[in-house]
Amino acid sequence: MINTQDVLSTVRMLEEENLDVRTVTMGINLTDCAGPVMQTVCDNVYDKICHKAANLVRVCDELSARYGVPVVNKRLAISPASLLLGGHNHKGAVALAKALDRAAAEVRVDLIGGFTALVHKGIIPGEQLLIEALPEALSVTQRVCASLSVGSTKAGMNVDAIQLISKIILRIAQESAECYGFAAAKLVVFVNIPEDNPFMAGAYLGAGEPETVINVGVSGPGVVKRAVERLIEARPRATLDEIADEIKHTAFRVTRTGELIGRDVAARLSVPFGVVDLSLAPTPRIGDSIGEIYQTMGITKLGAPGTTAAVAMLNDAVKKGGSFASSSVGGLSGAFIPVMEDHALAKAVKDGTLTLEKLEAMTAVCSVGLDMILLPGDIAWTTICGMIMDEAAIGIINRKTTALRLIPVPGKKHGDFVDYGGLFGSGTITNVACPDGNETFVERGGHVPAPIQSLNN
Amino acid sequence: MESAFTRYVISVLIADRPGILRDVTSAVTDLGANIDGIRQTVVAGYFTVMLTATLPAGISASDVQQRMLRSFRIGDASVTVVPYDVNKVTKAATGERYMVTLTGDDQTGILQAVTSFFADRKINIEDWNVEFNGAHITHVGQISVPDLLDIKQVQIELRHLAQKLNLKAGLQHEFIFRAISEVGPIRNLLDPHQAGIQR
Repeated sequence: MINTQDVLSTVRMLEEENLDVRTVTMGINLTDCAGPVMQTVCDNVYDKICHKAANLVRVCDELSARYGVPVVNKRLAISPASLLLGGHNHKGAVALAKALDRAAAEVRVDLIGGFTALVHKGIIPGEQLLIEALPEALSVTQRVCASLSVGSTKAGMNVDAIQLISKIILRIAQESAECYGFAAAKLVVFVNIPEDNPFMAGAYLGAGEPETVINVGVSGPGVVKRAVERLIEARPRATLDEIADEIKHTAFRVTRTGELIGRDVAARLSVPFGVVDLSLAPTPRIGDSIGEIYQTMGITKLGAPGTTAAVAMLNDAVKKGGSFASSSVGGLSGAFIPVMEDHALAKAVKDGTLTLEKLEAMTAVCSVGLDMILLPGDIAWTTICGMIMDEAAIGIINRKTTALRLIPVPGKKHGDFVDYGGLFGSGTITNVACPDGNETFVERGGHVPAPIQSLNN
Repeated sequence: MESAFTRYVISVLIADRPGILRDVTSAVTDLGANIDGIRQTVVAGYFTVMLTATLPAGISASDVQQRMLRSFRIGDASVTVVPYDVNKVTKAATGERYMVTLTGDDQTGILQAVTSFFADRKINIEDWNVEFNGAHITHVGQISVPDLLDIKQVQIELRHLAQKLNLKAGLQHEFIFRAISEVGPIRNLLDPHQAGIQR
C-alpha cells in the first residue's frame, strides 16, 4: 500500500492548503471557420466550439471527484480571432466576439481566450479591426478574453501598435465605466507571448499547436507557503538554500497533480495533452497568496529591499521542481504577481510599501509583468504607452515573457479602493512615480529594433 | 498435464521478536519454495506476515504448515496454509483502487460501521491501517471499487457516515497519491497496460 504519511500529506495539501488545478484549458483551432460572410463565420465558430468542447466540463467534474482535486476553472483558448476578421468590418468583429461568448456559455466554460492579434512586427487589416473593436467587444461579452502581442526578442517592439493599444485601453475602461473599467481586466498585452498558456486573460492557441489540445495550469501558493512554514517551524534559522529546496520539492508534487488531471482529461476527450503551466497562481483567499510566501520567507513588508531576490528564488525553485516532475512543461511557468488577485500584494500596494516601480523590477525575474494594476481614470495614454514599452523592454532583452493588465478606473484617483469580487479581488488605485515627461519619446512611434540577443543563429 | 508446482498462501501470527521473518522464509525455502509475494507488519507487538510461495508438486499444505511450526516453540505461533486459487483472487480484485482516509477522535464501532459500509456495496478492502495519536485516530485504507458503482455517490454516502461518527472522510483514486509520491512518468499510470503491470 502507498505510504500512510504520503497519503495524509496529499490529503492535507488538498483539504487544508488549497491545492487545486487552477484551470483545464482546451485549445481549439478555428482557422477553418473563416469565410466572406460573418454570419456564416459566427455559425461555424459556434458549432465547432460546441462540438469540440461539449464534454469538457463534464469530464473535468468527473475527474475532480475521482481524484478529489478541485478543477477550479474550465476554459477555452482559440486560434487568434483576428485571422477570421480579414475583409470584415467593426460590426462583424463584435458579432464574432458575441458568438464566442454564446458558445462559451453553451459549453459552460468560465472564460474563452483568443480574441487575439499578433502585431509585434506589423498590423494587418483583420488585426487592426480586432484592436479597434475591443472596447465594445469586451464590454458586451462576459467570457471573452483578449490578448495582443506587441513585441518579441526576435521581432523587437512595435511602438505604433503600442500607441494604438494604449489609447484603446482607455476606451475599453470608459466603455465599462459602470463596473469600474472591468473590461480592461480581460485584455493582456504581451511580449514573447506563449502559444500554449492556459491562464487567462492571455490564453490563445498558437500557430504551431494541434487542432485541439488540453493544457493545464496548476495552482499551489498555499501549499508552498505551508511547506515553507513547516520548514521554518522545525528549523527557525533555515537558510535560503534550504527554503529553495523545500519549494522545489513542493513544486514537484503540485506539478504532478496538474499533469495527472490534464493527461486524464485529454485521454477521455481523445485529444492530445499539451503542457502543464507551473505558474503559482494566487487567489484573493487568505492562505492562497504568493505575497504570503515572501512574507513567510522573511520579507515582512512586501516591496522592501530583497523582495526581488525572493521572487527570483521562488520562481527558480518552482521551475526546477516542476521541470523534474514533468517533461511537458510550458505556458508561462513561473510565479504570478497579480496585485488585485493576491490579498498580501494588494495590501502592500495600499500601504505604499510596494510601488509600481518595485513591481516592475520583480517582473524581470518572474513569469509575467504588471498584472491587474488599477490606475487613475485620468491617466494619459502616453503614460500607459511608456509603461507597456518598459515592460516590453524587460521581456525582449531578457528573452522572457512579460505582460500587462492595466485597468484605468474611470472617475477614480490615486488611493481610491475598487472591489471586483470573486477571483479578480480588490485593490487600491496606484500610479507611477513620474507619470509624465515621456511624451516626446513615445509619440515618435515606429519600431524598436530587435536586440542583439535575437541574433543567436 | 499436471503442473510441477503448487502455489500456497501462508500466514503466520506470533509475538514479535528479532529473527521471525528469517525463520519463516527459511522454513519455506528449505522446502524448495520460491516466495513470490510477501507482506509483513507488526500490530501492538504482534508480528504477522502473509506470503505466497510456489513449491514443488507433492508438498501438501499440511506439510508446509508442519515445517513452519517446527521453527517456533510449541504454542507460540499460529500458521495457516491454503492453496492459492486464482479464480477467487480475480473475483475479489475487480474494480479500481481508491484510498480511504478517516480522521477524528476514536470511539467504538468505527471499523464495524465502515467495513459494513464497504461490504454492503461489494467494495473490497485490500489494505487497512490505523494510527493512534492519543484520542485522535487516522484510518488509511486501500479499496477496490466495482466499476458499476458511481464514485460520486459513494463519496457522498461515506461522508454522511463519517459525519455520524464525528470523523472526516476522504475517498480518492490511488493515482493521485501515486502521482504525487512517485517519480515515474504520469503517462504510465494512466496507460491501462502499464497500470495492469504495476497493480
